[in-house]
Amino acid sequence: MNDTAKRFLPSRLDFTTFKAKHFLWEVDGKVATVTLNRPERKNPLTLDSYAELRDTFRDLVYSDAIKTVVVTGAGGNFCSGGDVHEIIGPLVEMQRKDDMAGLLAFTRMTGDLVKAMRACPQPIVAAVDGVCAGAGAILAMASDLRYGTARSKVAFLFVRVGLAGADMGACNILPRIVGAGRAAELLYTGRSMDGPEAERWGFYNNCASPRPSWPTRRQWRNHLLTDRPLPML
Amino acid sequence: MTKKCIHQEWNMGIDEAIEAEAQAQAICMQTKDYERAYLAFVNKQRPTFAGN
Repeated sequence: MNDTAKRFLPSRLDFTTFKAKHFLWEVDGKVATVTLNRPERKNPLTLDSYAELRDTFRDLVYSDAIKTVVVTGAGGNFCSGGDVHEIIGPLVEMQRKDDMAGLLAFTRMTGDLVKAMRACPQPIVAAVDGVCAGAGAILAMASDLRYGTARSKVAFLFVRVGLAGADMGACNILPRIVGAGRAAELLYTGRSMDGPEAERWGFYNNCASPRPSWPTRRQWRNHLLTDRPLPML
Repeated sequence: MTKKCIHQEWNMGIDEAIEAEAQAQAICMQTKDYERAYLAFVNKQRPTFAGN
């Protein structure tokens, strides 16, 4: 980026020294890795981690230092979705208090995370192992590229918890990835998909075992991750 | 609700669809079924939905 272009950048955050409070943020060259990091609970999202992820992806719009973001989970699982005690419980409490504004503020906040992931210029790579459920499945869906393990389980399980399959853009985005008929099955039933099926259905770009296989393709990875010509910026 | 959302979001942009789903899901979060699912999970039971 030339000096003139740099003058357009707000001086918000230096992502090379950034420390996230509610997930791990590691930078290797121009590749940032977001690791959801509560492995004892299969890495659920909390209100705090949702908001910090949203703010981070929003600020990445202004980062020239980061060219690709990898999203993954610690301890052999990707993400188990919204935390039952820290998110679902408080939402049920809002329902009891007839707090429609509070519920809407929550669903708009989660939707804003997907908007921020779609709007940032960096390709987002989801590396999925183990459980990838609910909002976790949405995080993978909202990424640009998805690589998973054979043992991984992807479940858009919203209908199983009394909600619509329409969560964070799923009814719009998932049909674009896997096709309408397959999206309907996943969203109507909330059933889980294993790695080979996710690859066959086009949800995963590649399925491998025991680790997501994309890091082994070094030349392609380097091209995607850092050395991009202008059309990819 | 899910089928209607897939249908009506077919020609929406992603940002509009996300807003539509935020509204749809907030409505679903007001149902008793949502509370039933939560209570069943906390009590380690299978939820029985009543459609309200």
